[in-house]
Amino acid sequence: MLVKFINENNIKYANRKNILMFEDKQVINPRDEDFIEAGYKILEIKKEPIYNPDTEYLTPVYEEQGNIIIQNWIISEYEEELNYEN
Amino acid sequence: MSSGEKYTPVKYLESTGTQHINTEVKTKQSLKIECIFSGDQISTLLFGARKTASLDGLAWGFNNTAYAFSGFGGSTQQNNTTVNTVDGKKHTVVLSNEVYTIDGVNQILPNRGTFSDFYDIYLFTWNNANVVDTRKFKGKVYNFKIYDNNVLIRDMIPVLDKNNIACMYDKVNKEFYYNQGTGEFLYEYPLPSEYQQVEYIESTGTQYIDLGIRGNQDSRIDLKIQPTSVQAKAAIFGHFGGNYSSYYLYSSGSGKFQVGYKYFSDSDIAIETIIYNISNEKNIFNINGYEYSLPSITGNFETGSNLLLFNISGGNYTGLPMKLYSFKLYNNTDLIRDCIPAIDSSGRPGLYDTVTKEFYTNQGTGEFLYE
Repeated sequence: MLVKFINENNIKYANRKNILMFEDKQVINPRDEDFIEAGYKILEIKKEPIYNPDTEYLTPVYEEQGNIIIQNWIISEYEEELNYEN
Repeated sequence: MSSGEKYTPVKYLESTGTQHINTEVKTKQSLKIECIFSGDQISTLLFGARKTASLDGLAWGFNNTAYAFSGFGGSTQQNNTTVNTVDGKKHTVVLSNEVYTIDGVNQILPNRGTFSDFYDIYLFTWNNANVVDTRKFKGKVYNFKIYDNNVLIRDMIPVLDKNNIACMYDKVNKEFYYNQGTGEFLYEYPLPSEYQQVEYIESTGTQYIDLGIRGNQDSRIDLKIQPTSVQAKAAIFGHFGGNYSSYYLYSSGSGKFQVGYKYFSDSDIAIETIIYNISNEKNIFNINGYEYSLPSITGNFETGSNLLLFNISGGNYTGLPMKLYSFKLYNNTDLIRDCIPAIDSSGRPGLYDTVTKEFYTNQGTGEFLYE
């Protein structure tokens, strides 16, 4: 899966249905090599860590490492305001 | 064309083959057209203007199941399309110097050229060097937009004016555009006669609506809201179910849009008191054009209870005070809720759903405001 690193909280997934626009180029029906030229990289998804779903939740965090982007996980505790009932 | 702001929106204008409208925007290279239409008649003309049959065309129409005639700056030619546009269903065509899509799918438009003469773009037909083409569109138009250098200069919606004349109203320059042909446009009210459409309904934080349906991995929303105050930890839409079944919009502790699609996370977008158009395609949320992605998921999920508007199910939350202008809920491509702000015959505000034909009123405390 190819994605572009936006920041540690956000990535952009390659969408082959859309016109790919980067620099001064516009590519219709873009292929993998077009996305790579536009700065997209392979997404490596780390396994979810063990967590207590009653009190904790996972959020993704992204890191750019060479030619890949790593999707890792942060375990956080629920705030009182956003705990859930089911 | 005439000025004014009092109008009644209708679902569409339907031409029978004798009506057309002059948008009073002349062809040029920097324009982008976006038209939502439906029809089942082949070989009629939807919009455009051109110098001759072979030059300076900005035109789309004469479509069939597998092709449409189209041009942008160059000649108007028959080009194959990958979408059948005469199936009676709603379609969106986008045409510019850079882009040609139907329903978001790229189409081929070779031979783009440069305009040397400039003519008013007509809707429901083509303007051939100031001569109205008689092969007028037979179908419905729901919305017609023109951008110039990506600035919206026409946002034309079908309406009845104060005299109940069916016409297009441009929300940008607040002008009415009337039939320049013969006969009258057909139209359909979006709501039954006992309901009156309003521009929006507004919550103060204690109102909410139960949409009567749960969300899942195929749910898609398309809504237009305007927060009336900047408030952290306030609910907008959906259901919260931890990392199992979340599908929601929320104002986070830092006052940013927090989105949920199985997983949940704060976006980079701070909530302000401006109008937001928000939609999602699976895990990717689009907030006023900015994309925020949650992790892509495999497998299915379903929210633990019904989706709410103006609040979130699955816990006890304060609603974000906001105006709601429109709300659509899809299951993949099937529209399953299409909520229009309205008041009923007793003056009670709520949302009329054109899909279920139900009128949803406040299930919280107090009452919605409206305008």
